[in-house]
Amino acid sequence: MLTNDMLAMMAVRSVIFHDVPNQRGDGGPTVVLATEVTQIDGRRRKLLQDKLKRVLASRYSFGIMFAAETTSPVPDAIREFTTAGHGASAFVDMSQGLARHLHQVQHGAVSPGLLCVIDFVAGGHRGLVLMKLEREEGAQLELQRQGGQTHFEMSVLDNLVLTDGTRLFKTAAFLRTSEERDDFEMAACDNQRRTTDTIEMARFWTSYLGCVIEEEPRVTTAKFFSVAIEYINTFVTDPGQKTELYESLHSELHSNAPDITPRNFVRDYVPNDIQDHFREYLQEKHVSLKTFPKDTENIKGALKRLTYVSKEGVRVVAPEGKEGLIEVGEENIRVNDRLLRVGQG
Amino acid sequence: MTVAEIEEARKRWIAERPSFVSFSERVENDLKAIVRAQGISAEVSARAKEVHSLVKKLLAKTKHTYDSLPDKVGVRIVVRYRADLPILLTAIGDAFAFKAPQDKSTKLGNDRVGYLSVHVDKLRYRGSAAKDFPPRRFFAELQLRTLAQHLWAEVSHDAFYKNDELIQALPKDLRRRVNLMAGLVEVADREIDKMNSELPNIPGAHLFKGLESLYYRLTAVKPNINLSLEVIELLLPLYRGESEEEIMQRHISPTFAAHEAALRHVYSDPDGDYSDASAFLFQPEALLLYDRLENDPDGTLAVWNSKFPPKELERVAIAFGLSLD
Repeated sequence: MLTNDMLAMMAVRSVIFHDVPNQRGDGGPTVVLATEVTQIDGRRRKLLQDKLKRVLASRYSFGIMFAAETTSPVPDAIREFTTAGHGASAFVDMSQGLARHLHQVQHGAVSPGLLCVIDFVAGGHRGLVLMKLEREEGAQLELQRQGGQTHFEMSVLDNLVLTDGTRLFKTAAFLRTSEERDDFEMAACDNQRRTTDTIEMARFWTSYLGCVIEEEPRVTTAKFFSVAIEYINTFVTDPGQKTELYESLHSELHSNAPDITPRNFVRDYVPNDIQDHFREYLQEKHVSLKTFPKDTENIKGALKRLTYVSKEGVRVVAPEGKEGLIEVGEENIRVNDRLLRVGQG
Repeated sequence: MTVAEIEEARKRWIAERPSFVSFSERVENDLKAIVRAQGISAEVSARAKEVHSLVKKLLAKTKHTYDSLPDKVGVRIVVRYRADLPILLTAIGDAFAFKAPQDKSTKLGNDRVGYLSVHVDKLRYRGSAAKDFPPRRFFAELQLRTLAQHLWAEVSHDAFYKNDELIQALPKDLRRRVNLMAGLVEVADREIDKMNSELPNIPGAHLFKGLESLYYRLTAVKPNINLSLEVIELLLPLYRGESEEEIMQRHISPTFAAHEAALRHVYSDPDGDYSDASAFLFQPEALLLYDRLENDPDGTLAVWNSKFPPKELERVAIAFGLSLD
């Protein structure tokens, strides 16, 4: 995963854009390939760097790696280009190849746009960034003075990209860290992971890149769940807080949201006075605070709970599937577990 | 020196000066790096003498020849506090060779006052750097001073009390007044040093000093202390009751050590464009912001927005490779 330090040291070298419309059955518009890099001065370079840092360091970025099996030519193009000794023309050729491939696979509900390829360095290492940008609309106002009257003339601009309002976009950065074939630090971000998006759309970007998410989502999800439970059991002493946290954790995992962002979970549900400690604990146990796709496959059993209510109003909530944990007799209910704490509330 | 020798010296200096300019630039950069590594705020400058200045010096100091003239390149380091002088002298000694430094105040003894500063002769490279600038030919004179010593040196430079020899030639009453004035400057110098070590009991002062010593390892840009104290006061509650010493030891120092290479890059990127940098990037509390943004971005954002423009925090975050999103 690209670290914040690597991003702090990121310096853009060359940039090229290609216009990539959607693939249609009837042919449709064709891809417009730039034959030269875009000239950038210090201000433009900084704009690109800042946008990239903001999105790649955000809680919504995630670690990726090259897929073991893929038909995408992107991994090989990146492996090849980031080895030493490639000049400007190789950069243009390589980026054109990436744009042609995007045009081949981009159809249906995926928005057309511009493919931006960036050659960069960070901490003495060479890297590439791929960004897919969608055109946005905006308005421009110009002050006009005529015959003693003053008014603003408004024009609509429909070719804007990377405006201040664009917080998330399809991005991926690959930083080569040694000459070994697959020694890269990588990160990606995707704006198309909303609940309304189909799985195919959600996977489009990583699939185009020929990458998979670094850690299998079912592993990450299970790790987050078990470390959070461990923390609640060990450090949260107030029974009310404890119950609320259990409930929040379960509802987070049961919700329809396709991702989990531990940093947001801590912010939204954990009491203020233990937020720092909770975050530190997650990080100590190697749970990233960033967004990851939710997959509850490995914790299906632990997420299912049964509630037993006795005649006198005693409530026992227990995970389903733990054989022998709860024994229900005619006259009594037996919990076969050690008592950790007793509290009021 | 004879008239012919002076003329010859002029010609040689015109021819050789460019290589001494390169030497002075290298020395200045290296000394700046040494000063930064100590986390000390100091003005560092080095320059090769102008041709007319060299000729004047040879005319005035007849004992010197072109080759023996010690200050063809003059270097000056001006620090804020007396306590910084021995620290810097030791650090410079690790990288450069020089003759045993003269502390002018020691030379004056305890019954006279006057020009005070540490004077280092024959400052020269050793090791691999000496290959580019052989020490036999390339050496400089270094003056290491506090601000108060610098004040005295500057005001006395063009006066008849520039040095001990001239002072002794003055009428008694005038000599006494010169000594009193120099004494005042020395007392001020010592008080400034003492007050710095006896920090005022105001919230944030200890933390500011700790942050400042790390900040000056990254940049020599002077901060605005009022702004620093406001930001520190705003962010202190995020450390939930920890003392300022604890915050430095448990949070800031480890964060700084873990990210020092990236921080150095942020502050010394040769391609870096700082025209759109946050006003808070060149403040010591930027390191406090870094620590909080890395560990508690949401909490930091919430308190920050109550007082300062959100855009400024975003600029700081992005410069450090962090994101508020």
